[in-house]
Amino acid sequence: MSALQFHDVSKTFQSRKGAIRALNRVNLQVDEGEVFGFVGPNGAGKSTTIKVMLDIINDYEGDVSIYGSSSRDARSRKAIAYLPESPALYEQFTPLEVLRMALRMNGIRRRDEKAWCQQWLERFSVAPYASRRIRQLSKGNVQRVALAHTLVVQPRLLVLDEPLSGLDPVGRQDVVDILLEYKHAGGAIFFTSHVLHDVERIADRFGFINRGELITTRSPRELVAEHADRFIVRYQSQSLAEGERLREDEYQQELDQSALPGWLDNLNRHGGRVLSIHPATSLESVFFRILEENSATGPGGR
Amino acid sequence: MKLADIIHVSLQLLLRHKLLHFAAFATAAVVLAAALAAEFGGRQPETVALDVGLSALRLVLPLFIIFQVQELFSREFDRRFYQLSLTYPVSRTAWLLGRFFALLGVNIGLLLLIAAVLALQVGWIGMGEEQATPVSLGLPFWITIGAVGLDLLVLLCLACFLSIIASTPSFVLIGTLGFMLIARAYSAILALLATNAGVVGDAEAYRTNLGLLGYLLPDLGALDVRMIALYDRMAFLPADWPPLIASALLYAAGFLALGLWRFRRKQFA
Repeated sequence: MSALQFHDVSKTFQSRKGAIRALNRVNLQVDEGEVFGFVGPNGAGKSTTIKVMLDIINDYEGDVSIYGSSSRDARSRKAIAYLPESPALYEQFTPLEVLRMALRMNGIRRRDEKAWCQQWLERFSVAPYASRRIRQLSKGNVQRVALAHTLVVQPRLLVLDEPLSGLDPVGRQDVVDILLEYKHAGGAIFFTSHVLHDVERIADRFGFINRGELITTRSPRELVAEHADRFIVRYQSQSLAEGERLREDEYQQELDQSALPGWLDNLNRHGGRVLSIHPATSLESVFFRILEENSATGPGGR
Repeated sequence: MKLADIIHVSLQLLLRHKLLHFAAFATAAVVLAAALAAEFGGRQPETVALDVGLSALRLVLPLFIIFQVQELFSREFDRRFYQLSLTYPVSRTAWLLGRFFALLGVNIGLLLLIAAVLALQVGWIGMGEEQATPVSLGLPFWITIGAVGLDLLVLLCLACFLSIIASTPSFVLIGTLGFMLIARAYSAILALLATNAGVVGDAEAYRTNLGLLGYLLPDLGALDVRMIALYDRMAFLPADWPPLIASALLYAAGFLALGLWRFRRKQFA
């Protein structure tokens, strides 16, 4: 059974300037235990997708199911925990109360409720602030409390909107480790991120959305391999000085796949020596390329 | 079970939002108004204290309701707290009803508390001094409080509805107070025009126009039955009290149903 399934989901917002198609026949599936990264430029439809999934927006066309139940049924959210981009926790509550509220609202009763919540606060290094009001915490600590709030209910599907924003590098690493641990325990994750490095690091697959259309869903490796038509050659030569100079007689040149054999012949003629050749593509470069192509062809062009 | 959890969290939120401070302030305001009125009112201090105390009660509690509705509804939408609270496995109907019942419970509790304090105060003021027309702090007093409660129920349901359709929290304040003033006053103005047509140029036209409000608004003015307690005479109870109660309940249920209907369709873009 898939953890999450979108079937022909469309959503149109009405504005004074006319109708805006925020999602256009989106179909996607996230399997159990899979980590799915959702990327796209601002205004592409990432947040709308999440709001549809959580029934915060409920006047859409199509079907969304969570572990086989329609997302329009509130009970389907028993399997989900959600972390918004800027988590708005009740400021007058303490972190401990926020976590206990999450358990209560999810219908979870535990005898060791307090210890359990305390344990999660410790996991995110915010246990020392357990009895302080949320409004007294820093942005980074609020983000950690919000993450603890999502995991304390042990959801089957985690929905995270920019989960690493507002965290320092150490905090980011901690969170990535916890998410990977959650994944290894069999949990599914659906997350959005602007930091494509995070997507490459965590996601098994990712979806790229632009102007409400899901352009592609692939694994980062697959996509990079498909677009691996440019290479970076590091070489040594005394007479050929093309590209970026790295040090004495050592250079780096980026080349198209078609130009590569001829260029290597030329290097050979100049008595040069290849040090390394590797693909120039990263998820980030592919992201920009797809974005450029999609902008040129318009929605539905791919 | 789920409703109980939502009520629990709502009460926790209200308590953290200085509920007890507000309650103490509301009680103090009523007690102070009644005490000052008894002190400076001249004759019949019990009657004057009770009269002014009930007026203060009818003024302070709607403000209390509005502030609490703004806390539990308007602020929730304004500060985007719904991003968490609506993503729990709880239906929107349960969410709204849970919050509504929390507010209802708090307001019934506060109404009973202030009424009891006011009754004690009036009883204490009247100790050792007998008035020609004594007040009643028995059944007539509690019927009066019940009618005030009904009036507040309509306002609470209206405030909840307005908070759901409003784009700014101040709309709840303005809308509820505006509605309260008109719904409480229009029947008294109609009665005045009927008995004293000389107060305006074209009394008949005024009466016709104001009479139309009777089809749109509940007659909250008629729910002010304090005369039965002030003069201990049940004869002052309006003869048409059953339809009055039914009308108020219908309006309350109508506002709540409208609020639910609108909330279930509310899109949080």
